[in-house]
Amino acid sequence: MNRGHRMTWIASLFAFSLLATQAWGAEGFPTKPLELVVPYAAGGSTDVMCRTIVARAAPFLNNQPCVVVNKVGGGTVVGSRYVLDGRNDGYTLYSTSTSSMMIAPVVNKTNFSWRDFIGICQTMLGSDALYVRADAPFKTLDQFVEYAKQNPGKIKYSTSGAGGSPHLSVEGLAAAKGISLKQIPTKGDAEAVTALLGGHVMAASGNPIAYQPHVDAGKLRCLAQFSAERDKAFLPNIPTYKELGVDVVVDLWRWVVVPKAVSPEKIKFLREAFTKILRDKETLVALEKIQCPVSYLPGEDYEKTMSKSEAAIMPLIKAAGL
Amino acid sequence: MELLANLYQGFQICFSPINLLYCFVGVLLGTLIGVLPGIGPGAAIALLLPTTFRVSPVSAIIMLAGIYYGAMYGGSTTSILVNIPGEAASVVTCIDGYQMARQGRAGPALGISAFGSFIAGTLSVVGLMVLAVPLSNVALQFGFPEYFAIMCLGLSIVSYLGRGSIFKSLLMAALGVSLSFVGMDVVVGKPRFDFGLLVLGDGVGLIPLLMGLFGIAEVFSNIEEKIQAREIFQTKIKGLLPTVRDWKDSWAAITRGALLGFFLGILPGGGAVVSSFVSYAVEKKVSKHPEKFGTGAIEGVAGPESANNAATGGAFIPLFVLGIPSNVAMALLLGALMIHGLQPGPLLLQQHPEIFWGTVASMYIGNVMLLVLNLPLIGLWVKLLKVPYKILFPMILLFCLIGAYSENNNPADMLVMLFFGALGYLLRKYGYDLAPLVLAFVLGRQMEQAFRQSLILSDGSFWVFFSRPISAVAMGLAIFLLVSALIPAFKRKREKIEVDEI
Amino acid sequence: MQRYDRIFSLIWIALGVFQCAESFSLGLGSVMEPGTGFMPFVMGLVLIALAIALFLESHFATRGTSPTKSSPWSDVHWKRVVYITLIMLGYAVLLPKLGYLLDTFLVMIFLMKSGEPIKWPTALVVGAVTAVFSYVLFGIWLNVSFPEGILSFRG
Repeated sequence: MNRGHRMTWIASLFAFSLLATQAWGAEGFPTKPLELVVPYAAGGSTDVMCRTIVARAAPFLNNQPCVVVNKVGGGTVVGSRYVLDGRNDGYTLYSTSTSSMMIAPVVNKTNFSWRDFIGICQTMLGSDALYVRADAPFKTLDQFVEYAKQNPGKIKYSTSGAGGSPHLSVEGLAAAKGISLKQIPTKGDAEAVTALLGGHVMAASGNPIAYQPHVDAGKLRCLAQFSAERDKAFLPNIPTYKELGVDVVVDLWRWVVVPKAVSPEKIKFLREAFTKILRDKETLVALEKIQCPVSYLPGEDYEKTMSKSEAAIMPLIKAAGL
Repeated sequence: MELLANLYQGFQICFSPINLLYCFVGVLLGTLIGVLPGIGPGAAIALLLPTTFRVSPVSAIIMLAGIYYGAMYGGSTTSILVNIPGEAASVVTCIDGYQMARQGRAGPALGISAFGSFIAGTLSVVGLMVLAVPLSNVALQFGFPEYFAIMCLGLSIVSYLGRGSIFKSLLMAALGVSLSFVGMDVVVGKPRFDFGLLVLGDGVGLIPLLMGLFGIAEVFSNIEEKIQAREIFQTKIKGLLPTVRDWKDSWAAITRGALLGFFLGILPGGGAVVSSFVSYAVEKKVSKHPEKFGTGAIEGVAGPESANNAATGGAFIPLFVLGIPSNVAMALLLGALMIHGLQPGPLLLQQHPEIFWGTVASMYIGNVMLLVLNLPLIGLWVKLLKVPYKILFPMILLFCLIGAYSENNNPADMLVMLFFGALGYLLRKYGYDLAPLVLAFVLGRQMEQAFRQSLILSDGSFWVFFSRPISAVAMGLAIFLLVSALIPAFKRKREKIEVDEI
Repeated sequence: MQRYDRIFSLIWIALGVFQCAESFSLGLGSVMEPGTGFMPFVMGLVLIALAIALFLESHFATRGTSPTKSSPWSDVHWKRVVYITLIMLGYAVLLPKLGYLLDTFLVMIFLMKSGEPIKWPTALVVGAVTAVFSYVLFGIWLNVSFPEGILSFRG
């Protein structure tokens, strides 16, 4: 053959061999890598936690790796849609939180809700908190509320975003105590912290991870946390809203879920696998290091947890005018 | 002096074989990532994060930091060679860098870019070392009105960026700002202007926009040419390094760029991008021959490339001193610190000074490594120009497509990119400059956010922008720049002089 | 070019009007408490103002300019641009169905064929090599997750 024909032959062979290497997988589940979808950008606290969890997960998943996939956008809606529109074959898991499962669907008026998913397990339970500067005129929540009563509209507080759980938690406080506070939303905890540190706002609300270093350095003070019970890992010495007489509860949980349509056998397998993953010593140590201690609940508790959360959050969303 | 003692300690840490290796790997990867259009250091850092689990924190940060500032070296390569920016901070490099390449001076352009990056990068590390703590306190003074004023100032310099009609440049800027409004409204938490498209839910992506306007549109403009003018300029390559004359022209630009970049890099939100644009405008304004800009003035490459590298040094200040990340890459570094059990924040410097000093020392070494790496690569890149365009352009298009896809793993982003490719192609045909659009797009959303935040803060009073010292100065300067650029245009109309040829 | 400037001015004005209308429906809020549509509305007005200025500028500058190309569309292969756009559109749409390797291989060949003349063997080889190398570089080294489509490797 001349050179031209030979090239064509080689190329065709190449193309055929590509087609021919379709692998038909062995029996069992799983037989190929799984995805854990995170609706936030890489490097954020959810992303880091998920990567830590899946790093040592393969032995419990039929030796298949589980890979974190970031699907950012639309305030977590893109991630939720990606999971729901996927193949429902049990290979796509979703790491959700109060924000993405409870708040985002309502605020964005999507056509899905937590009822379209089924729980594999809870991974974390935490709380946001309310912070002020250490040199502020108020040192307790009561003094804060007093000040707000005497200076209506004067207190501005920063949050990591409008419609997020910190925002709702503070608006809940305002509604419960009849004070008016003005929110200045920012694009993330980093900006919110900076605004408070610089004295541009008088209070801030958000994830303790971002604020704790400054509390330790003596620059900020924490007034209250929003969950039902004190977060033992992070804020053991900070009173909750309930303890201080504010009838508002915002629990921040993180769950791993899959779409409801996944087959029951696969769900059972995943639930058992993740129970073991979250008991693995090395994983637990790693999670402690990144300050995300595990707060495990089995998948069967999904409906109960979600309903409770929904009942607590809905009135707050309405109160915040969303 | 305590500073030198600390630095010495840092070098001691850095000179261990492991850390030197990690530094090298980091800067090497960074350079290569920087060359690939659309894929930024963020992706590489996220990817390599797990591999750092088992090493010491210092080694991890040394490598990841190397990726970040290394990427800034590589970004100018494609800008100069094929008029396609590797990232938003290299857009202005295209303007004069590509022209230099067309004149056979790709080598000197790449060379001055590498040298400028080295000098500015090193200077910014010095700045980081000496000024970190006081500057971070200054940075905290910047509240919402100050940010708004700075954004306005940044926007006002678009009037100096374009060639030809100033109204066209301003139109592009207005368009850029308007495009930036697409997506989620942060202040209210609801989407707007997304036309129901999920891909636009978080706004128009910067990467698809950039790849489309500059990458795709550039290929389109070349493909349609009947005479293959490209073949002609490939053959006459005059020399691979900057000449003495080049150095004489550039050293001032490099110095100015370094200062600008370092200080602007401290402020969150597009530090490297904004500083490269500002540097270009400054160089054009102070130059004795501003008409040369746009035709291959080396200052137009030296200044911006120095600025964007200096900005990387400045970006570390909020991270190390306050534990606050000023961009995506810094946020990932923050995550890395946390994974290693370190709490970023004001106490980090006190409790773990070795992290800061080890990294600072490694940045000096890293910059040297980058210079040594990049100079020989110039010859390699220049050879790439000789690949026949009919094979090169599909690859360029493919890389753009992948670049657009890779940020969110969403094919719809490719469609967004194609839309902007068509738009950019048409706009170029009818004489519009696209650089103002990019700058305005980067600044637009943040400007609006700062504006509304300021008004909530001031309970609706506009006076807030002018009553605070920093923002008053910045606003005044912005208004002055804009007006002084517009006056000639009006004068010209009244006197009916010939308009600039487009 | 002046004529095109004036035509474009009208386009910009139309765009500005559209933007103002959309912003209005989003709610302007008040000047003291700007709503979602406030800034976009202002920008729409700016667009209109600048477009008018551009129109006037080109109107007054008609004298004394040498005619440039009769049209930016004469004497160029604009059809190639259209083909390439359609090819890339196809790439984006088919990517989830065909998977990265096959889709990339095909798109490279189509793109090359749409440019200057190129021999088939060269095109096939370049296409295959590019597809594989880019898969290794982006899909494996850089861990970009590509759809697998009809060619499933992992398993």
